[in-house]
Amino acid sequence: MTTSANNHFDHENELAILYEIASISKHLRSMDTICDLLLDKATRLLGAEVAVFYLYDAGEARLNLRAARGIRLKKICPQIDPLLSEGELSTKTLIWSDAQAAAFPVTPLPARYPVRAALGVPVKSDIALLGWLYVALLKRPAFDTRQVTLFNALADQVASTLETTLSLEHNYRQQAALAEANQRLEQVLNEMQQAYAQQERLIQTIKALSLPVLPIGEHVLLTPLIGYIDAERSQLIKEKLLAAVGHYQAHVVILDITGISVVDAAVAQMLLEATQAARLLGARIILCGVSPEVAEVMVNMDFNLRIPTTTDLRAAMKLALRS
Amino acid sequence: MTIIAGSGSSRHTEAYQAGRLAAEAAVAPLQGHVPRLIIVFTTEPFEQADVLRGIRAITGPAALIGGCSGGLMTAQGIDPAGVAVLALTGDDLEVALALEPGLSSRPHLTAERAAEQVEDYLAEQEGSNRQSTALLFTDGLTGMLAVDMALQSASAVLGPLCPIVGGAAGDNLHYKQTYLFADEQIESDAVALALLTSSAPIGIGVRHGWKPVGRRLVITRSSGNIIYEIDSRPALEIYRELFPQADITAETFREFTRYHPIGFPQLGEEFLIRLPLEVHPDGSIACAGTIPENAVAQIMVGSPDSLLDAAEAAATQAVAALAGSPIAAAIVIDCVTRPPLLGAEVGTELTRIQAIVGHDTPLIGMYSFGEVAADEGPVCFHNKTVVVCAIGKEARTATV
Repeated sequence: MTTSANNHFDHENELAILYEIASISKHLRSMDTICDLLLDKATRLLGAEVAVFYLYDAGEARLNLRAARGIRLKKICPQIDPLLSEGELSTKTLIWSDAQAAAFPVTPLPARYPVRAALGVPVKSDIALLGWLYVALLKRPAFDTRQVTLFNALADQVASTLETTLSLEHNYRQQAALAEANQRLEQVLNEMQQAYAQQERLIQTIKALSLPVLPIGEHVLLTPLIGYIDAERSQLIKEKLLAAVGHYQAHVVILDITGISVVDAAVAQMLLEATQAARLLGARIILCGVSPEVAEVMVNMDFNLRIPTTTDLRAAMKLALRS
Repeated sequence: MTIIAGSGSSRHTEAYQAGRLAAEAAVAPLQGHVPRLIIVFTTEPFEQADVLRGIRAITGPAALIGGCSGGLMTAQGIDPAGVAVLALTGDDLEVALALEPGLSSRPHLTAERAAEQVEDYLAEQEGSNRQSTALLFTDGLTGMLAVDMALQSASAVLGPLCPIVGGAAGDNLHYKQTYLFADEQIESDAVALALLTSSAPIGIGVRHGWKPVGRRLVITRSSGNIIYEIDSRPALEIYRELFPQADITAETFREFTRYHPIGFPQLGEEFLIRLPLEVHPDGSIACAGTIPENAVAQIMVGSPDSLLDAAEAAATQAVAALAGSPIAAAIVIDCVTRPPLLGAEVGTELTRIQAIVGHDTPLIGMYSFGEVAADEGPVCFHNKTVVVCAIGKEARTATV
């Protein structure tokens, strides 16, 4: 092959290698995939004996070791000094060989590895540093200009892919966080609904227990009232009392108000209405548990129930059974 | 002390005798020194344990590594079946061995574990003037896809100062089962590794001699070792289009690609070769080794001359790396699919190598199912390639 044909052949191969490098952008999968591709291209395709990739942590302004080929991660410097990360390393490609007097500004590999040539290539988008690629030769003396050009192209391609992937991963994380928040909200709502249903059942139980209607003899009912009686409960007492009168065909109903905490106008009004309604159904009310204080309140309020009253339950039962 | 080597082979049909006779021939030139490393290549249909017993009867407890192959090379010529042994000794030659099964199911872990078994020993050598080189053999029947991954792990553990050279074990093209050896252990689907350390240098040469032809192709869809689409069409269709006169069918495909593998350009080196092995019903093709995704490829062709030139170049490269040290022995790993193209010139390949390494130099070789080598670049799994490993006789003399 002539020199011209050789050059053409080399140029064609270089284009093919560039195509393969450019194809990294087709792999918007994950950070791990991009790292694998980057290190594969750096070693197999471009001939680096060791390749190390650091990912830039903007929060802590430093480069953190992410992946390597040709050497174990645990043997590599895990982080690079923040000043270097933000300075020389992030601004330009560093090209070094052991023929130079000055040392390479950072040493990712242990000193026992005699590096003969190294490249440090910033992986950066238009506005920000994303990572840093370090490649080294131990057997050969230097990277040639074509390799340097191709490593720069590789870093550029990885930068754009990385930027898109990081953005996608950020979106995925946001979506995942949103989905998790929704799930938590649904869980809270569910728990609230369960608590509400439980409370509702409790209320129904309390309501049922708050007005026990006990048949204590033929056509005689005992209804002990306890607790505080508000307007809603007053209505409930009347409804249940009249239903019980109908159901048990009661002739006498003993209303025991010993357990009522406060007897006020509302309670007195309820008692009056209940008495009248029961009377219409053919039942007679005996009010028991009337203490001197309650009697005084009722007198003061000028309520005349016109029903028999007793101070205790035994007297009320006697009266009821006698009638 | 210099490295002393001897090689021998036997075509005896009884396994124990074949091992014993090959070992006797290999140990004889050691001038009474106890061998420190025994490299063994065998073929079907021997009972491999009996072969090793026969070798052990002669060599004693020297470290032993090797595997079953598709054919043998020795200094005396090529043997399609038999046992070949290379015996090495030397005061400062030290060897650490590892054998780890599970290659196909856990390639990274298997190779990592194997390499870790010699890692401490390797660390002890760092900083000395002794060179360490890893001989690595894998199962070439179960590990077609796994070897690339295994090499990544092994090279990471062994580090950039330890070259890796070796090959994938196989059988006599029956594609059924093969074996790896380390001392008395015999395993299939495994990685066998021997770390050689000596002040004598070791040189490695790698060449294949295949040249690209026709238009450039883009691997538009692939995964692992399978090429689904080339130029956005089923891979088989492209082969048929490029070679309309060849009447390629699923049955003839393997025979055809043996002479027309796929190559991938790499910077400054020969193309990376991948051998397509079989066609799937969807027109995709499975290759021996991982395929770079979205890469440009070309069909490759070779001729007996180009392959012979490559073998000679690999030997030259290996010997040159000894930097003046005389050669003590040579190991050749040669793809089992190269002889069909070489045809009547198959023996010439060995002759060309021997012309470089020396016709009297002890030599052992295997016809492999994939080749492993790192010359000046990173370690790589090759197809249809010849690897020559030259073991130096004595330490390089310092030059001023």
